[in-house]
Amino acid sequence: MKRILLLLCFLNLISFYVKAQSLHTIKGKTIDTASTIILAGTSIAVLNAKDSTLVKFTRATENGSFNLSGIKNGKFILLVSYPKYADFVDHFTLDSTNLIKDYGKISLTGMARILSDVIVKGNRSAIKIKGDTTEFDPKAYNIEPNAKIEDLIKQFPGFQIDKDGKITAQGKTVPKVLVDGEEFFGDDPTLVTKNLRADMVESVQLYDKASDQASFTGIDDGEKTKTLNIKLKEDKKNGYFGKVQAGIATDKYYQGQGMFNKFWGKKKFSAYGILGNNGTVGLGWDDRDKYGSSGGLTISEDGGMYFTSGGDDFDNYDGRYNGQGLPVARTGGLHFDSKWNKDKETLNTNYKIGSIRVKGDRNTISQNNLTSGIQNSTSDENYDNDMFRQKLDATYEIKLDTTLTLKVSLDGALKKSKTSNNYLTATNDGNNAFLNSSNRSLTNAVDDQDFNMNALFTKKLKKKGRTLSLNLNQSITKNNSNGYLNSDNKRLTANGIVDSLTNQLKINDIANNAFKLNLAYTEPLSKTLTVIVNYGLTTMNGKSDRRSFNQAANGSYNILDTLYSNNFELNQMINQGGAIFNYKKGKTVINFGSKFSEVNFKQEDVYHNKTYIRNFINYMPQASYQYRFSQQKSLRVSYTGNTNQPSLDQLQPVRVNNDPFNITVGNQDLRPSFRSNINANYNSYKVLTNQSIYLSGSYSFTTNPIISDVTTDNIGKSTYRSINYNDKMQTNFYIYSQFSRKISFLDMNVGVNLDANGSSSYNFITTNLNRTLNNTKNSTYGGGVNISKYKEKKYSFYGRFGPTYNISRASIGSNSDGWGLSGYYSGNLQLPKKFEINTDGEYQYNGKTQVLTESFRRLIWNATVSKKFLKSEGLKTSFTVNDILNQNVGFDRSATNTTIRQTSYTTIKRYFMFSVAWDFSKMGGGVKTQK
Amino acid sequence: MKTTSKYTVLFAVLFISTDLFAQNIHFVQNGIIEFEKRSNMYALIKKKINKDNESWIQPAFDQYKKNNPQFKVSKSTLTFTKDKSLYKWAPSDEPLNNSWATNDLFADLKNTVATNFDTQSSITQKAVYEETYLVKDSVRKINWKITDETREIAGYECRRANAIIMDSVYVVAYYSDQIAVSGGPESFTGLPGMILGMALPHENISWFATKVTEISVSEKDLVAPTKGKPTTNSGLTAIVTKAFKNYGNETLSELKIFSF
Repeated sequence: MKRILLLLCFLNLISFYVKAQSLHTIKGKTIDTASTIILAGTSIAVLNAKDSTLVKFTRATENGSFNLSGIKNGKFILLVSYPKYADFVDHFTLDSTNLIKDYGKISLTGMARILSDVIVKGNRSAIKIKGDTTEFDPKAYNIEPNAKIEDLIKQFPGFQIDKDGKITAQGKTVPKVLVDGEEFFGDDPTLVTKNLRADMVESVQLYDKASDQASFTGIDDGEKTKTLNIKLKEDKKNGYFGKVQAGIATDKYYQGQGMFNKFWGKKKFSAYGILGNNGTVGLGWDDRDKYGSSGGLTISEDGGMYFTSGGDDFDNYDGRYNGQGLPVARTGGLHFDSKWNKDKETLNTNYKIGSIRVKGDRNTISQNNLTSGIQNSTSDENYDNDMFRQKLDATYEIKLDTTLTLKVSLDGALKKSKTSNNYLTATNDGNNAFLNSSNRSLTNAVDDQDFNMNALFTKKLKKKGRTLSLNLNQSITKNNSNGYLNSDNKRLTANGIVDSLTNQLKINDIANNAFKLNLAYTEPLSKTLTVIVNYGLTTMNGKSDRRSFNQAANGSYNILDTLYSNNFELNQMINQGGAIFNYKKGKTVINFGSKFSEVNFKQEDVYHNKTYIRNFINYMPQASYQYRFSQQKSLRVSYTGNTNQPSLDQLQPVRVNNDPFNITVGNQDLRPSFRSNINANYNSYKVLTNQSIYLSGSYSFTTNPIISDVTTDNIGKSTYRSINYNDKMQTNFYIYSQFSRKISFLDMNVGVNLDANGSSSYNFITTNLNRTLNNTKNSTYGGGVNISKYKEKKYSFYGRFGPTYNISRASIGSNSDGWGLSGYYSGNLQLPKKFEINTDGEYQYNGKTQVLTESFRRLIWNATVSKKFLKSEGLKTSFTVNDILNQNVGFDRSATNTTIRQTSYTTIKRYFMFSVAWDFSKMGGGVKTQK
Repeated sequence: MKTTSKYTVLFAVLFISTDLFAQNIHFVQNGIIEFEKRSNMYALIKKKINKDNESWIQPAFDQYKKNNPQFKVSKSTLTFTKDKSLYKWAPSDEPLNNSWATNDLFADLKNTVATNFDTQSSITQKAVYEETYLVKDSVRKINWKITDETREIAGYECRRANAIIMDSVYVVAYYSDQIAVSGGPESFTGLPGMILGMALPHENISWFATKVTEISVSEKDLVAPTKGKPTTNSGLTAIVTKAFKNYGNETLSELKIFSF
């Protein structure tokens, strides 16, 4: 009675509530049809009839009854389901007249009884790989435009697809469908659509896939499921793009560039040509990626990226000429690459041709502070160097099977150069009295030939992480030159000034062959520890025949000057072995080991019939510790040591008379020195606050260093010789620290940095008075601030500025300490109507020192205003002023041992240039055309 | 007498029915589910390649394919009772990926989610770059669309439901009636059963249960994470938007995954 009362109250409450909100209640009771068992826990869900989205759900209580309330008017579906039973599905409508929908008893039927009636078991679509594969080529079947994949599959022999999309192949249902190896779930077209058309299919593979369990444990439980893998075609990529640019400027400056890239499928062809005299000698960073071969990018096993840039005049990383003088460049290149045979084979080939001619002057003043007194020198040089080069390279890579790869690279280069240098030098003593002078000219015609071949085999062995690689390399270089030396040298002797004339033809023939083999084996000792063992063999043989001929009375050069002619033959063999251990666990990486090499070399002096045999043992220990706190924070400490073997020039130099006041002689007794380097760095980057901290430092010391021993006589002639010095170590250090972060209220990044570097080295100075040990200590301390601000498509700005203090001390001679300042800025501003301003500037100031009594300051300021045209913004006209203030002079200061030197040289100065650039492209199926 | 027989019948029916019920399906109400998240890295990296970056991402991708399988697999567990659940990741020993070109924020996303079904609220610990946030908010409302498609996952019969979340992300979920808790991996709940399989087909990522263990779960197994700066979903979106607003819309849409 109590219960009834309660229920009544409850119902009253509900009906009141329902009336107010026009909400309904659905109730019922679920039982099993056959056995009339109450099915507790049955899930009851109400779906919208319109789109079958879930409205509300509940579960049947212990006695099988359910009650769902709070449902608004509308058309619904009732879905009653119980595991292993067929679903009960009913469409119903709720309106104001029916507040309570009572289903009474809902009988559920065991699945076994009405399997096919209501429910679609199994999946229309589904996942995975492996096994014996049947592959179908869609090209062999009729495909209507915009046909669906199902339409294609239906045509395969032994395939059926029913109305629910269930696939049967060779009599078995296919529960899993993969697209490119990933399970295909199929889209609900009312929510989202992704077109998967039959013409996008490359192939269809059918195979028996072991169960997930079997592929997980590796134990075959015999269960196989039919799996269908649909491989899609790679995106069809066809098209071309390119760029044409031409500019004309004041002072006869000009530049022109043309680039073109065409790609179809997996093939790419590109070509470029550049000519100009404004310092553009090659492709810039961006363009090289698009039109040349890859821009020196290497990627390590663990995915790290490293950029390297070539060293010659054409292959600068930014395509700009960075040397001294005025360059005129004409260069071009072709590139082709292709992948085929399912990407198992790749070919990459490049041809480059170009000439560069550099003219200019260079003036050097230097001061040598000796115990015997000061010597001041000046040197005025002008040069005209012309070089023409062709280079062809090709790399072919093939995956012979899943574990074996072969990579073969070939390259050859031919280079012809003509150089002409004229020097006027003079050395005076501290009282400005004459010591020596020279007026000489050198002309040379050189032919270079280089050829390299490299083959690399890499084999992955059965055990994970075990690999073997073999690298074979052969290189041949030849250098033939033909040149004249003409010099008039004057020097002060006891008998007054003596004049000597040299007029010689010099013919050099130099050839080198080298063969290198390197075998490396990687063994995983445990999950975390790996060892790489390697063995290398290098054999080299070289011939260097340098002859000097004096002019005979009849004008021909046929009198051999035996003093300045040499013919050396060199045979060298290096055996190298080593083991490096690598420990990697979580955030820690430790690396240690060493390499050893045994060097034997035999040098034969053919003219003097002398043989020099030398043996060295070199070793290169290394160790490093790295801790990566997170993706953006890491610490690394490392040590490397290496033996520095004396160079051939230090042991047995070739005797030359090109510069009679600077002579080098050999020292057969030299032993290797050993250099140790300790390096540490820490960096942390916080993405959200854009805060970056970078600290880095290194210290290195050299024991038993090879130092220079210079004998300078009182007329300024220096003779250089290298010796070992055991008593003191040479040291180097540097420290760099940087902190930057975003300043919120300014919305820009601000950073500060501090750095210092220094070195201490020794050398012997011998004059007619005495022989002294000189200790040179150079150090530089600097600091600076930088700011940057960036707003996409609006503007960007970067600037830095800071002082430096330079200390240059030599235990013999005078100090040369001074302040410096340097600054840089670059900015970009996008204006309305497709106008844009780009500008940058570089400021340099070098203060006076005790020795250099003039300060130097220079501001190089450049600016460009450009406007883009056309809808694609492909056409661009620019007006550029290079070095607006016309302050660019080549300038360099350096101090070595007791000598302090300042050089100025010719560079490109102010010009005004107008240029037009046109970017064009055509992509894909030829729809989108940019002009 | 009449009443006595009535009671006898009632008792008999009750007895029989409980007996029969014992033969019925057993509904799981607490336990641990092990999930495997599989990210199709090949597809994810490939999507990032465009005309401007292909010169360096393509080689990085080729190298990645040489040394890494197509799918990146990471393991997580969902511990649950009728009232609460805790979703967390197994500690990983794998070395950090060195390359930013082949990194994917979504594939590496590892949120810890504590859900309270009674209060319909959750506490989510999210690592957003160097910062850890503790997002307290109500559970994600999802407009699930129920289908008649079924499949078996980890021994449980599951029904498919589809939905769109975060305006554009298509979700496919498979839930089982037999686990009588409306929970699921990550922040996904609200179906008439436990979600044992979930896929974001267009994001190339899926979560599937590999094992369901029914064991009793104590309160201490369900303790919500406490470390992190407290915020809400909208608060976190504001933080991320503020940090990257100058990088343009493309970057911002990439960062949407932090509200996943």
